Amino acid sequence: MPVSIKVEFLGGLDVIFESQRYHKLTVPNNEDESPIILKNLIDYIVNNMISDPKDVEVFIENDTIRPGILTLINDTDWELEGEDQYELENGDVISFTSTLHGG
Amino acid sequence: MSDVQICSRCKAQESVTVSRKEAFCKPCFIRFVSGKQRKQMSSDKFKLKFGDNFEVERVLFPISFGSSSIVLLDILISLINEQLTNPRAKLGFDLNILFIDDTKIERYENELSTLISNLKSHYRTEDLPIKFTILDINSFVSNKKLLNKILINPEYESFRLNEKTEKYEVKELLNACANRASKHDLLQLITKSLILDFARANNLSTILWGHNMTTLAEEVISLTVKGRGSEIYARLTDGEVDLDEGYKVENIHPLRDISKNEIITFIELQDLSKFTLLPAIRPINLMNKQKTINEVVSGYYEVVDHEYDNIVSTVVKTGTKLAEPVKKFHGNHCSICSSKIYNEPKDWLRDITYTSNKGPQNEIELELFNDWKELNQNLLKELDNPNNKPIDMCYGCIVTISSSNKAALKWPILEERKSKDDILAEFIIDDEED
Amino acid sequence: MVENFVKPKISQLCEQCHSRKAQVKRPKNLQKICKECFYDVFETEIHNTIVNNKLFYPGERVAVGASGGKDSTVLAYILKLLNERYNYGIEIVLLSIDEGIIGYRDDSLATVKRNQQQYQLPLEIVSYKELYNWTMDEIVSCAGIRNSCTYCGVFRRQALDRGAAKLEINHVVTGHNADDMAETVLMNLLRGDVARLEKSTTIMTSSAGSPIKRSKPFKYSYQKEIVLYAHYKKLDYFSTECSYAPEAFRGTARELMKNLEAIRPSCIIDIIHSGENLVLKEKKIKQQFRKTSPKKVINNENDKHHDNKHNEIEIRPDGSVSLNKGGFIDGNRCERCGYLSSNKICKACILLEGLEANRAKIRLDNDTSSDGAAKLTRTLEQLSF
Repeated sequence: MPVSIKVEFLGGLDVIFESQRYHKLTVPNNEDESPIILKNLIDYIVNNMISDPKDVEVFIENDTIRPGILTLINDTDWELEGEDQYELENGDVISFTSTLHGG
Repeated sequence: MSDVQICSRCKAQESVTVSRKEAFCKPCFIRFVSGKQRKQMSSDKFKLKFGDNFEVERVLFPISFGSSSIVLLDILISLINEQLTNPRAKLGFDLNILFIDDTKIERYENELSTLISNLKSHYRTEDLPIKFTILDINSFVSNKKLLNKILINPEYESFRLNEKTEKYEVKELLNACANRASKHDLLQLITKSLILDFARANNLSTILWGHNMTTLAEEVISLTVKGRGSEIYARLTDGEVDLDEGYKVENIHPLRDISKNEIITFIELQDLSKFTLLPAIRPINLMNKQKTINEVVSGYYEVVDHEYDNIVSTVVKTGTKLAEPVKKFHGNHCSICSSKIYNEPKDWLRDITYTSNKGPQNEIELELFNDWKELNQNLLKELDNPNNKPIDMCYGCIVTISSSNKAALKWPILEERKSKDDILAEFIIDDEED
Repeated sequence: MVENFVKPKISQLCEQCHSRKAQVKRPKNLQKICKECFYDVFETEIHNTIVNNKLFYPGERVAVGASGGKDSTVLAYILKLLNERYNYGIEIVLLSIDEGIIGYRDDSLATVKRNQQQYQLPLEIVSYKELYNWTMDEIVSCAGIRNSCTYCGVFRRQALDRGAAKLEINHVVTGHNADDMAETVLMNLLRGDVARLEKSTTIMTSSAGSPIKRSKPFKYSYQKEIVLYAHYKKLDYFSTECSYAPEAFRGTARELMKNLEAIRPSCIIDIIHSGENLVLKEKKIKQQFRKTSPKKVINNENDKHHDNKHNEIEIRPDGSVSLNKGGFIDGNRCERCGYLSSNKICKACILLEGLEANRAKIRLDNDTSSDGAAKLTRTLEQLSF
């Protein structure tokens, strides 16, 4: 089943998402029917939500979320939830916050 | 196309390389690099000795079979050959080469034995007064030392607990490490400790380190990142360093003015690559998280050195200007790496790290707390074991050990601080005398 | 979480209270802790830093350098909270600098104004335009983008001082965090800034040329935890990068640190610990002059070859300035602007002079930005000798 979740881009990260901080979206099923994980969401964001390809490197580095971006799964540090292997559930709130912008 | 460039030194031969904006032919480049080494080793004690009344300087040269140490080996052998041409004089110094054999731990693409036989036939070492020793890295966990389990409690106090173990090897010791970075840190500690113990056991009073300018700059930043900033002065300063209770060693870095690129050129021009050990793992193929601290720093220099002038030499110069933070030393040595402890790390860490006392606040939380307590009784007991003996630990070792799997780290520690006899007794030497 | 509470597994519990689900992984010691304990730990550690270093005294008036960004917003919030909780007895004022950068500072100042309402703290805004008759936008169009951080640093430092003086306050606290401190230690090593190496980790400074002391209560606080705290507490902060991107070389050091942190998160305090143990040999630094190089020069930071000539001055991008070794001579004033300065002419006035000389040109020709920048670089090079 596809999952419906909320995604937030904070700490200035919204600039690469047409200045839209909050998004509701549905991640489609994987072709091989495997569970939908956070990695699938990241791919979905890169393929469907970043309009300017040059901006991808603001979000991704070496195939994962760029160091300096804080990723929270329902307000919990993603490091405690298995990082990009976390299995998404309906109603999850995933937030990405840049920690790098000016103090 | 473009004109052939003439060597700017001899103004005769065609140049083969450009370094520091100067064109060099092969002989002039080799002379240029050797000249840098001669400058660092210009003391009388390395010069030819005449008459009978003299002391021969006993020199240790630890090699890793990396490019830099092979270049230094090449230069030192040509220096010895040059000195040997004078029949009326005696060789200025006694060269002891030491390789800490880590081939059981690190994977290499080529065979050590092949390298050594290549080396012996190329330099005809059997005719030279050089002593070559290969020391198995596992001698670090020899029988004479007691294996201890190392514990650090939440208050940053460290303890050791004696362990009865049949046979233990460095490889197992490193298994406790969380990642390659920590593993590399421990390996560095082990190698350094073996080199210094070897120097001490054999009365070697000078150590020639093979580092070049780039690897020294790498050390400055890496030591800083590992919380070992206080050790930079000892690593970078050439001259006498007091190792332990009056035991002094003179450190020299003969290649400290030569950059990594110049080392690579030297290797190419002299065709020395056949003598270098090639690590099977290349940092360039690794994800950032799999790299060691040193590899990240070294990659950084590779990138910025193209764009900004003199970063590497600036870092080395800065490191050389540092001194021992004597005011922060209160007489304690680290039980793990034996270095002096500055700025009492457990107090420092306690000052900046607070542990919350917001315990369970409702029925559910209390229930969870009790479940946890039941499951973790062993862990709590372990920290309260009356046989735990407090030890001193430096900041750098607290960092390395905290990032490892705490329950599994074992380390050989002597009951008392080492005497020279202890050290001598530890060595089971696989001697390769020529 | 409220609707259907799922009992966490024992392995998911907070490593401090062992009774709630862990939500934060502390970079300092890799401990997994719950939100409740995180608030307690984060706030108490800052309190301990303030007390251990005796940053404040009762009755002291303190200006928070407020940019509207995450660090200073959290700082203002937390100082107010701790002041009330532990009765420091300090009076807190927000002090903002309006550099005059359209689309950046005007928006962030709106945030500061909201913070003023939210935290009920007095706010003072000082602008470059009123102090120097130049906005940053005008400066950049005149001097080029390359040196924007140098100008801005010098002017901001003096502006903060002047703002504090106007409020009769002589203590400015800033939101510099542990990541900033560690970055500074690395930067000083990388560019051989020997003069500042030993002092780079000092928590409280009273610099030459300024009667106003500065302190950094977030010295040991991780950027990650500051952002998390702001996020959980839903603090209102502004987060857009300055229109004039930071100096390129600093960017490389920042990248290096992020890569190291991914391998070993504790490295930030490890670097600070190292920084606190860096001591220079007692030897006179040989005086030497940098040869001009065709490669990029690392800002103007590399040429710190101090002698004690009267007019020698060196300006750094963060605005601090090396002055005569004698340090701040009380009562000396800049001949031009009358502001406290241990040199005849203060650093801001020297920069202004360079700018004024170029202003006329700009009116003649609109495309002088590169020329202006080059000229300024020469001016700066002359200044450091």
